[in-house]
Amino acid sequence: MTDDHLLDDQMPFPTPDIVGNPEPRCPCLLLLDTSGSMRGQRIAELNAGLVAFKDELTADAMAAQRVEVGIITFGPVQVQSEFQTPDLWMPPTLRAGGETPMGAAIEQGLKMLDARKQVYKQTGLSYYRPWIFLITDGGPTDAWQSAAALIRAGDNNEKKAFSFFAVGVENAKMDILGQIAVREPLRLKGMRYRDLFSWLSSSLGQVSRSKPSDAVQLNNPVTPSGWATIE
Amino acid sequence: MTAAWRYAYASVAGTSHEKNGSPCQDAGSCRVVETSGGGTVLLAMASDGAGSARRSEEGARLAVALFLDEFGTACRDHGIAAIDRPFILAWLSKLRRKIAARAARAGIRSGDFACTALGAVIADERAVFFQIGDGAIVVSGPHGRGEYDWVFWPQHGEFANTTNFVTQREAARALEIEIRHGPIEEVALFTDGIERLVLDLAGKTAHAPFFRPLFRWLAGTKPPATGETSPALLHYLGSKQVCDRTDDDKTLIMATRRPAPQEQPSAIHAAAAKSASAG
Repeated sequence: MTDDHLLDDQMPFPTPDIVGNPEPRCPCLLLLDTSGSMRGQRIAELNAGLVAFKDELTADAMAAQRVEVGIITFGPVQVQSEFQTPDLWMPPTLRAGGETPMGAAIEQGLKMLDARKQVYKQTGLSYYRPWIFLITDGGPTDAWQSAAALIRAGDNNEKKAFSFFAVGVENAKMDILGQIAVREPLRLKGMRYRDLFSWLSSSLGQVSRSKPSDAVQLNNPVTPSGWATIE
Repeated sequence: MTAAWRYAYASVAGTSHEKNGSPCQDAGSCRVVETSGGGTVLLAMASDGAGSARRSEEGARLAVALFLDEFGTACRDHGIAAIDRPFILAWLSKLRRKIAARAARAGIRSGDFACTALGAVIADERAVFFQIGDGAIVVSGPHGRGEYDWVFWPQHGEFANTTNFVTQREAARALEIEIRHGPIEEVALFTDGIERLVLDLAGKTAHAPFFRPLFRWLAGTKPPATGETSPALLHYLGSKQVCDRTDDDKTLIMATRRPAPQEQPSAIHAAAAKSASAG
């Protein structure tokens, strides 16, 4: 049976031209601690996690077109990747060394995010609420109070400028992370960076698929099989 | 020169809804009413039920039914002059009261019926449009050159996945209303599901190469029986071209009062009529 049998209108139905609009973007900023204490297995696991992150994002058709990854490392503060979609983004090989200027990294990250939003607005790209993901194995060695104030000002139910998540590894100062992030900080179980990035990839995939008013149901990472615990 | 209104509409469930078994949460309808003064008024409304609201398809159907009812009666009795801002606000209040009553009976919240509303009321020399939420209404430009303008840009706020609903607090603040004078010959209303296929988001324009051939097709059809979904639009909205680009519910309503194109393919017309009478 051809399609024509389905149509009982009098004129043949045309195939109209549709717009090749760019996909809306779902920015994800990673703020990664690369201070001296990350040397050895930790930085190696983090690097492997980033490679897996790219693989999983590109394997998800929607995430591959919509998620944009940006990376700032601290120890010292350095932009490793400007915001890019997973196909273009090359996971950097990070090296550990130096202090933990977490406050400065957060402030620079927020500036980088704001600049990206300006580009979206100027080019007519629509976008989702950005995610910021901070991962550290220590505590800030610089002033972090103004960074914390910026996060409180942006990650709340009125402003909703972004969602900020903090993840502590091993000896991270969870109490300070709790004062920086509005959401309860998560503690990574052991060295499960890979599981963390796998979760992050699938969560971003869900966000990038969401429609108006959809409540995005994220998998809870704080389960016996998940990658995180809460203090 | 204008002809009688011909219109077509359809709502089709998104492929993501088919996968998880949820119903089509869009609703839409269109009809022409005769006024007591001897004119005609076209009424069209599309409504998109919120994805996460459990009974939003009911909200959407209620919005459309109440629109046809209230606006239909007013236009029949008093013509389009009856449709002004207070009238639309009264309709919105009534819709919200109905939803609240239904929610109270079911022991749930009004927000569980969350839906958008896009309405068009078009008489010979005057048209009234209104909108809460995303999706858009597109009308033909004034000179019949195959150009199209949107009436309201989709309401999305800062993020792609946020919009307004008739059930939200102070919904009247989100309500946009526009009254246009002069004839409107072609109008299309559509929900968020096909927004990114038919609007150029960077240029902020309606994509004429989408609308032009469809309106031309529509002008060559016969006026439909009231209350009938268009099989052709139903088929198109479920087609690969559309579903490759959107997994959401989608509604498209189109109406024209342009004369049929001159080079109407009469052979095809005759063949279709023949096969219809044979069937």
